[in-house]
Amino acid sequence: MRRLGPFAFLLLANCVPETGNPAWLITQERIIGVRADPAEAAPGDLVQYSGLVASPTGTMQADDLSWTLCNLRKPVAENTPVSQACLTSDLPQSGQGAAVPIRTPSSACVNFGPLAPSSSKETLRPSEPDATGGYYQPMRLDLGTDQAIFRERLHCDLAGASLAMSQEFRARTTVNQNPTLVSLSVLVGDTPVSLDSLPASQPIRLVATWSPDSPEIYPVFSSASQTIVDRREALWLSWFITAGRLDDSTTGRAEGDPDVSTENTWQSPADAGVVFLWLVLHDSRGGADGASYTLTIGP
Amino acid sequence: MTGTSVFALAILAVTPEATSTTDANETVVTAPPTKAAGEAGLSTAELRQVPGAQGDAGKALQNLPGVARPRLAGGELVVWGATPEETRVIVDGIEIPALYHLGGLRSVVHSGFVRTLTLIPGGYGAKYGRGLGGLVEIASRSPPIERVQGEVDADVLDASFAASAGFGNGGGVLAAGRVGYLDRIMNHSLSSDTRRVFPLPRYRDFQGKVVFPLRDNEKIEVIFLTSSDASALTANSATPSSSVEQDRSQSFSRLGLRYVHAFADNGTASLIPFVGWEQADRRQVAGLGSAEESVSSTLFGLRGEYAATVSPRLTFATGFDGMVTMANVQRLGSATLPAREGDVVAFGQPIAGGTSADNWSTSIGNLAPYATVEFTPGRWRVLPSFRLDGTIISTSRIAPENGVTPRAGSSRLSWSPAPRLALAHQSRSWLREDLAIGLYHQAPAPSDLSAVFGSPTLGVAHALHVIAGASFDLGRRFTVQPTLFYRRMWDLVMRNPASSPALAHALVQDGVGRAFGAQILLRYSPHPALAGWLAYTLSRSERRHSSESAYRLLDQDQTHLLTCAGSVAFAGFVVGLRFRLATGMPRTPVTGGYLDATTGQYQPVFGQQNSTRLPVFYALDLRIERHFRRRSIDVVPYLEILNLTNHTNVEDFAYDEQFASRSNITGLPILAVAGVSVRF
Repeated sequence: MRRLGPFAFLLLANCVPETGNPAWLITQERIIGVRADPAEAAPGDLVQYSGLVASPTGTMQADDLSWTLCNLRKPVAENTPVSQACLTSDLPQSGQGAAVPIRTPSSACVNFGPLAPSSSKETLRPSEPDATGGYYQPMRLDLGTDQAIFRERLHCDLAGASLAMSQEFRARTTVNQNPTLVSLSVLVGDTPVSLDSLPASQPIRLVATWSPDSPEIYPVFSSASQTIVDRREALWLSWFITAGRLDDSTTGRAEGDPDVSTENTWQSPADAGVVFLWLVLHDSRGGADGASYTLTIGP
Repeated sequence: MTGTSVFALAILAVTPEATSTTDANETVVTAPPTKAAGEAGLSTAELRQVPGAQGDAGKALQNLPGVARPRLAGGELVVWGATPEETRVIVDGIEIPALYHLGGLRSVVHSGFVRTLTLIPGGYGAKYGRGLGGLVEIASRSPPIERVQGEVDADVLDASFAASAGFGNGGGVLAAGRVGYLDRIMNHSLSSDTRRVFPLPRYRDFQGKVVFPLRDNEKIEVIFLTSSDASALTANSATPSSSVEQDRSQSFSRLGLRYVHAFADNGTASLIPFVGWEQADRRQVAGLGSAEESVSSTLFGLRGEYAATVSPRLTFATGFDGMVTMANVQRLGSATLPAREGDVVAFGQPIAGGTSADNWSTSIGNLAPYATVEFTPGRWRVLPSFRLDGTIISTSRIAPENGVTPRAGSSRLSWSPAPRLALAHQSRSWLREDLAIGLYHQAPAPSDLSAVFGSPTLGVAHALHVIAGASFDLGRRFTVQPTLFYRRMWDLVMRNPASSPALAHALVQDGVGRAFGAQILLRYSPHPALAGWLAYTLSRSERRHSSESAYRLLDQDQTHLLTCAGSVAFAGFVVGLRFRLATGMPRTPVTGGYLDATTGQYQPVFGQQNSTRLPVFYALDLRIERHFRRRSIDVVPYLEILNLTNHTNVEDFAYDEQFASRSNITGLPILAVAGVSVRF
């Protein structure tokens, strides 16, 4: 009877499929990251947005990148970060180019924040914060047929709290800052190697490091318990490359992990040539930083 | 028969009294109309020949017409387009929350405890209510007189026992239980990817009954039922945005008394008070999103009935059916988790949406007086019945927690009449026509009454059942039972589709549902050692968010359901075959994906809801068992080969990280399950 256990396991193991292209492999032009400065904006603030577009021939200067603010609220019934209508609706363009300044709508904290939209008939449901207590203004990016969304973190007043709790929250809160990528180390085994001369067909360790102040401490208010607790940002890195094979699409550190680096393993391609690598660093409050690297595989 | 639909599809497990010479484990499967035990049924041995059921009467129920094939590791009971939450399960008059353990590998009541297990897909009488869908009615065995009987079973899934003993004075004790160990055998062997798809459950259950005869015409029974399930999976990831954890546990207990008094004037009175406890916890983490829910319930029930035979052509029964459920619910996380029927999701999709929290308590009470009459003028049998469901729903909070607003609750009472009628006409000795119609009502679940995640003002949902059928008895060896059914449901609880819903209205009660179709059951047993049956259902089940929106397919809709089973006994062996075919369940197509640049995760773009389907499922299963008898002990080893043809069945669609390409999550390939049963 027990002999059947492993037998059944072997059969069950076949049930999980291998699916198509991994997210890290760049085979065509693709939006891979967005950075907003500042990383958290109040209604009416002017925000500078920068898009990072990867292509098989390197970083693309995306003059055709279209930016569209979406002010459509997400129905409770939808299990996506923004309303599906933001992807499909014909909305007025807010800007075009690889980097654009866009002013955050003055109604952002009403549309997407803790302040419920006004109604003469009834009190409406306010938006829900994410796990970090954040509210976000959606933005759609279009580049040809490629679409992405970005959500700018909003600096809104606290709702559903007593006056004393609101004052304490205001005193403890810190506006989110973008994290900072510091360096990329490339190692074969434990030996550092130059980006200009990498071995072919080898497992290569890629170690990215961010600044120590990137994972910030921030307060989160719980309306259910009427308490404020401090949390530390988690950081994770999205990896993109044009050749070879990466172990993971994303790696990172959970909020309780003090380490400021993360590692991925890249199986370099067999053929000599140039390979492009991009890193996009995310923090759990919506901040981002990006970097691109050119790797040369030696003969 | 009073109060019970003439459309009952029954699996009847009969324990004869001690005076009988029949095998104590004899089990009979019958189909509508319910006939005398053994007249048109299958014996225990034959039931246990049905491959895939592993001798579990509850699992065998999934083969009956009108019951949708559950998804792999699902265990949901979907009957005539009713979701699992809309079908009630009753054991000796005591309501329990589910028929199956988590994962659906086993039913929560051991077959050795069961005398009859009856599935009534719809149109049942006024004795039962609180559900819009079907009814599973289980009656426990009677203990033997001055005898000890029992069985011990073990296979790759679990080990179980059932035992009974008589006190010699009409009283006795009956106990059964099961412990699952599949998770312990396989969990360490499975890859994290596989466990992510198939979390292996751990389960156990116990049923006990003690019968005390009071006087010749009185007895009292103490009944205890308990069940516990847990499953967990952890798929660690190199990044906090991609880790997956899912823990789920659920348990229930029931303690009840059943007092029965037979009067000299052919009347019978019964009273069933019971108390119960339920605990259901789930925690789900998928990357940056999470959801936790904990529901603790205490419930009290009381059921009483007086039935009498006025004349050979007239009987009546009147009684009441009451239950109060007091629940404390805690919930934290995304409002869209756990998913509910009608949610548009793709397998592996990151959890999105906001994070909320709420703690609330509810009390839902239902008291329903009812009366039913059965009279048989000529070839007719007429069963009108009436039930009046009084439902009181109290919630602790009508608005989300707010630091400056005092908490306020609400309470409201509603009355819902439930008239029901069943007609049967024996137009020929070999032909009977049946018709049933009735109204049914169901209160909302406690977890739907949140001011944050649901709506505290939800009320009672309603359903209309209309069923017509016939029974052709073409000789004792061949019966044909076609049935037409239609079920309409309204005031169903759905997610609020509005982009700016009113406060405390994340759920609304505008949903409408309908299910209609036809089914046929053919049974043929030309020889005691040779039996077979075929069940086919053609149906369509639909729901819509409101009376203005368009219908869409129910998430579990299956157009065609076909099951053929047969067995032959020879030389101590019994060989059984089962063939199942089912239309694939609906899925919402993913038309593309997009990057959520805030998190670095990709999200799907959906097409029209439930506009595509999984491929057709079919499987051929084989069961071989051998009987060895030594004195009064039967030893029955068995081997089941599931999916004998190794057909690749698709259980769900999976997508790559960018939702750009689709692949299939496939079900079990050819799989052997072995076990042994010892009966004494």
